[in-house]
Amino acid sequence: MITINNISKSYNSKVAVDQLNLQINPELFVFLGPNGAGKTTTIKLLTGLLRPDAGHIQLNGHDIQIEPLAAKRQFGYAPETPALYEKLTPFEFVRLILAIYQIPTAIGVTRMEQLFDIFELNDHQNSLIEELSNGMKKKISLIAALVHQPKILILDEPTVSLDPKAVRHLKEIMRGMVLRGSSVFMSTHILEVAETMADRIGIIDHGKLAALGTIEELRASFHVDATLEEIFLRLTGEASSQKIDEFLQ
Amino acid sequence: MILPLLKITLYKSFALFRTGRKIKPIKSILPLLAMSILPVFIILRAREMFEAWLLVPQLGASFMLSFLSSALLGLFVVLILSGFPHAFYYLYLAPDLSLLAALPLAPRTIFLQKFIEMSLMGCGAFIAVGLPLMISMIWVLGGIIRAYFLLLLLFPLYVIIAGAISALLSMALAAFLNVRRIRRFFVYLTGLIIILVWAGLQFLRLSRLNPLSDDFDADMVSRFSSFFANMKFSAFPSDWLLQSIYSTAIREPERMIIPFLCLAITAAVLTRLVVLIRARSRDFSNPEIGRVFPAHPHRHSKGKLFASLFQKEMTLIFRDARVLQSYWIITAMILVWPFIQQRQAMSSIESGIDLLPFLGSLLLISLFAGNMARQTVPNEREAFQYLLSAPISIRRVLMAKLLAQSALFAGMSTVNVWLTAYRFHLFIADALVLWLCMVFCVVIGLVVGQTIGVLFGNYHWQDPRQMLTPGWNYLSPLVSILFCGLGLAIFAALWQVNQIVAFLIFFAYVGGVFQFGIMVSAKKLTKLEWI
Repeated sequence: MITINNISKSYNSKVAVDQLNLQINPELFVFLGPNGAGKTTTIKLLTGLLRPDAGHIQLNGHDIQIEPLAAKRQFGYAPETPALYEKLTPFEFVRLILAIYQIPTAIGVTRMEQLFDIFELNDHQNSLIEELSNGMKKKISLIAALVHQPKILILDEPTVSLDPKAVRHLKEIMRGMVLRGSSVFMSTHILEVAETMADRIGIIDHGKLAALGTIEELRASFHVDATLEEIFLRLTGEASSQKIDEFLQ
Repeated sequence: MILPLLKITLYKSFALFRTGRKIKPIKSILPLLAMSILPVFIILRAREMFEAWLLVPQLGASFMLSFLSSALLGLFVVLILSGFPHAFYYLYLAPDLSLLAALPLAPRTIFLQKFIEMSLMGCGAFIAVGLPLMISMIWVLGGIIRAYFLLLLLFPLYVIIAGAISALLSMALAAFLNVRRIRRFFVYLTGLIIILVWAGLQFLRLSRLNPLSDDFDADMVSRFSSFFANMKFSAFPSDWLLQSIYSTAIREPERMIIPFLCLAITAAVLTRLVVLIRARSRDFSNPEIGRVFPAHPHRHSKGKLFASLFQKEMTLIFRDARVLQSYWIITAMILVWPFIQQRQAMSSIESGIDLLPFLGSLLLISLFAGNMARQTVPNEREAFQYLLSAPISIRRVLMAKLLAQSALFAGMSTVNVWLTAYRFHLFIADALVLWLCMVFCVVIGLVVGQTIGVLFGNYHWQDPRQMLTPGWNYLSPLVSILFCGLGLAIFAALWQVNQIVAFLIFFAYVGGVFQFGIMVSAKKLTKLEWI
């Protein structure tokens, strides 16, 4: 369970996250928002990569600032850009992750082999990461987040660069983890994923939570039978058709 | 179309000196000042030597010209060999090649820009060594301003010819071999060349050619004279450059026309050839290498986290050509050092003062250790966010880094002490004392270097070389030497009183520096924000 209690974060004078409150239960929570709205900042605050100016974050009851190691043991994290150790092989990288999370060898290796198989990386597990494509790097990053079977999964734009088959497998894994009691917090720009998969959706704009609820609750609050795209655009501001027309001319 | 591309090349070159944040003008000058130390030193020393040669009738201007011609020829060969890694990178592996290929630009334009970029990056050795030698020559010949200007105009042609030869040979190799693999080989080869040149200069000692020096060796000068007499320098671009500048400096400009034309035409023809041949292949993509590393047995289980971190450090060191090349160079310097040490054989280390002859090697290894250690955290690059967001103490990460490097430096120290003991007939006990001191100095250097790297980093994760602020880049060796020197001074002072106490106090000092360094570094990194 993730509890975000009144957190704020500013970069110099720019407010990135403004008094955000959220509680994520064992569910698949999708965080939406335009570029620069504060999604990645929120995720970095959740993972301890940034410190909040105010507020608290608890991961399964452990405050990320007060008990960082205990809190970090709760989650698996895949960043938006999979910056990995380029001079290691996927096998070596995931083995390092297993050692960090102190997963017993037999269990860890079985899981690693299963995930390499699911994401079709078997043939590349002993090549240098620097020689792999972006999509493959993204898969390795996801495997590293999943291999220790965390209670909380934090994914920043997980579907970017993935092929449709891998996206499908990832969706199934996320759904399966939620059914087994894990919390999944993911940010995405792909509204179809949010619409079809999310138990709840949060929409952030200019650092503030603009909407929160299930897709039905969001529709109800707007009193329309609208698609998620229409709700999203209404909340975050539509692009001016006039400007597009001017550009096209 | 080439102009906008060259503008980008220029911006990229300037970006090497940027730190990414606003700094005071005085601080921005610091790196330039530090970089000018070697050229200024060469200018002053070479001027003194050239002036002395001109005063000796048997030597005179012809000896100076022959010396310069051979030096520039040597440099030309070094430029060609060190140009291979640049050629493979800029003409085949540069990440922006695919972007440029997708733009409406002719392949010739793209590769011309890449070739210019490559030549720019490869001219460092000439600017550091060749240019100062030429400036010294113009200076002793009367310092005519026109000659200096001409030098600035012509040296790029010399560099371009060397670069073009590297590029042509690289393209020939790339037709048959894997580019990444062959580039890695040449990176190591370049390291080896630097080592050989350095070692050669240590044994040669140019002061032996200086008639004003106490070391002056008349036999050596005569050997050089006969060597020069047998060489046909005029066939090489190095001599064309030299003759052009020399003729201008002695106010005989008509004599510079032929060498100048040779230089200009060769540079133009070779550049054209490089661009045409590379553009013909039209293969912009980065060739995949498909290197496969065997998966080692899964021996890391619960409780062996530190071993995993240590293994990761070692793997990263041995697979990163840039880091490994630095270790090659340092290893060679450490191993050559006992042979260039000038000291009297001594019976044993009986007092602190007896350590004095070894002070150079002790401080040198500490300095090298510091220089390597300050890059360890930056070398993590953006992957460091995995460790920051993982349930692992940063203290452990730092200790694993130090242990990996200590292992490498301890190996170097062992061989160095063994060679020193062999050469100077040290007793085993004295060699052991020296070895322990060296290991202590290594640990001090590593901890101080790593701490400076962490505390004064810019945190430019994309480029580890830009990580330290310019001032600290040049101050950190001094700090390593200072801490190491202090420890050695305490040890030497206590040695006469009681040898065991001296060791214990030195050990405690090293332990204190280690604890303090790890503590402040871990504190800083734990609080680091990953923006």
